[in-house]
Amino acid sequence: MQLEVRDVTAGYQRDIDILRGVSVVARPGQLTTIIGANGVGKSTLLKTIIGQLKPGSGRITYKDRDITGIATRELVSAGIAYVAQRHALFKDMTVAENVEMATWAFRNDRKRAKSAIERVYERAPYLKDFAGRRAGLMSGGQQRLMQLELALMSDPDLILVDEPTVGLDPKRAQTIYAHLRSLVQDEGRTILMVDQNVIAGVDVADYVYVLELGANKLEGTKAKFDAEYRDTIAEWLF
Amino acid sequence: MTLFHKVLLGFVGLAAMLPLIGVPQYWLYTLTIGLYYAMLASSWSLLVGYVGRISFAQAAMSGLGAYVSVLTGMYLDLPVIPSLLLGVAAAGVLGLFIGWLTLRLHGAYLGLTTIAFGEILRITVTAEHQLTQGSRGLQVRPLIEGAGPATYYYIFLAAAVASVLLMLLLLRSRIGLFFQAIREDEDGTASLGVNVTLWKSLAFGCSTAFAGLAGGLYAHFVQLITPSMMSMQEMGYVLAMAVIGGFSNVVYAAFGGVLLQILLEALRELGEWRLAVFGIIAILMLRFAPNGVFGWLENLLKRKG
Repeated sequence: MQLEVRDVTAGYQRDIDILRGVSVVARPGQLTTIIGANGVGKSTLLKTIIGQLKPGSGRITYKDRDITGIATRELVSAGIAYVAQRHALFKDMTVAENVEMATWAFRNDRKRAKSAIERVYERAPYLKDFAGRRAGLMSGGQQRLMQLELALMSDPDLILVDEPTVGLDPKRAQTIYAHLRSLVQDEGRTILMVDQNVIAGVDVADYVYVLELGANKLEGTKAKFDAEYRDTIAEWLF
Repeated sequence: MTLFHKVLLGFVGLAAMLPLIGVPQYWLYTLTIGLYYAMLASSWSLLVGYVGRISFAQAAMSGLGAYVSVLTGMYLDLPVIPSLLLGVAAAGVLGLFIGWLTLRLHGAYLGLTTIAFGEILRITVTAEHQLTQGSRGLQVRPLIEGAGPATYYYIFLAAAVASVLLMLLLLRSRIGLFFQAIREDEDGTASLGVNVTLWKSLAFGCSTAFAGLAGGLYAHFVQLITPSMMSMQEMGYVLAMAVIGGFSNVVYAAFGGVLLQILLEALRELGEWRLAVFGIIAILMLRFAPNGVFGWLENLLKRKG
């Protein structure tokens, strides 16, 4: 297994758990989507995996190594990237400065940092055109794509993605989903994504989990969801 | 180099010429104090403007640097330079500690905590009569025996320019990038794997070390230190200097220090009202020119150039 979350409880205040024994697996080379209504703990789960929240109980393993409660910086060095919903782009800093920040995990390996910077400009030439300008001046869609490109600079095996299309129009959202899909299909990366966009989130996934009130509700392959659950879920969520 | 940079360099060049063109000793003395405030205001701007961490303990940290420098000289018989460096180290280490202790505090909570630290330091120095002679203050040996105002002026000018250049070097390095990233978004910076705890503490430590250097030099210049140099009134002056100069930039803040010291002397007849006047100017600056006088000047020259 690439990533396994087993019976994890976590929350922002002592004695108030948002996650109440969640179990999730992200299989190698697959896109796993976690869906659920607002406040069920989707983003909390990603924050717990990436080490920003300490779990009260349970276990998280990555490539068979126990990473429960390990600091974010160690997880980034170990090959996990996190594309947060709210941040991950420094909007008042230039695109070039954002690119440099993304090399932090391997800043002491100058050769690797230099080649990562060259690679990101090759992959996304628009970043080079914007290099000297403030990142906040880019369009919402470009900012989201840039977040993904920056996350790829550390060449991660596993990418945790939080609500990648929030605030984007359907056309731009489709571009983001297509990009995520290509990272899995063409580059063999593993993605664990949480999404409120149920239809698109299931469409793009290989495997789907549904959370309800901080616990697992349903899970299955995309085919299973298409065949059995889609209408039921839509009913729950809307 | 922009027109504004040329103007600033011109000011520094002019400042270097002042003792040679016969400026009265009284004004050299005033400008030397101004250069002390320039170091202090720029060190505060390093923390507040670039890392987004507020602190009201900068004057107390300057006092700590001064007292450690003087006391180690007195009681350990250390020469001036090593005792000065010990003062810098003490202020830096305490800054690291405050930075670590206040990691999760923001805004008003952080500000109030640093006020408490500053006051604890000042009260400790005042209460330790046997060691510090309390409010009566301590006589301090000079930085250089027999040196005149012009010598001190040049030493402070060199120290202020070197401090600001060192801060700029720091800020233009990767460290400066991390500082700015933390200011913009702490969680986002942490999600990249940056050890935010370490860098926030380091930012505090760097800023207070510069304040400690300023305080140590000041003590050996005025040759008398009292706990009043650590007071909230002093902190108020530093704050007004940085805000009026422009606290988003260490260079603006440094020039603000010199400018306000000159105004302090020019408006001496107003007595205590001077602080009230500066307070009003600072409020107006925050409202209408948040980048301060020098930020406004830079924009103006950019438009003209």
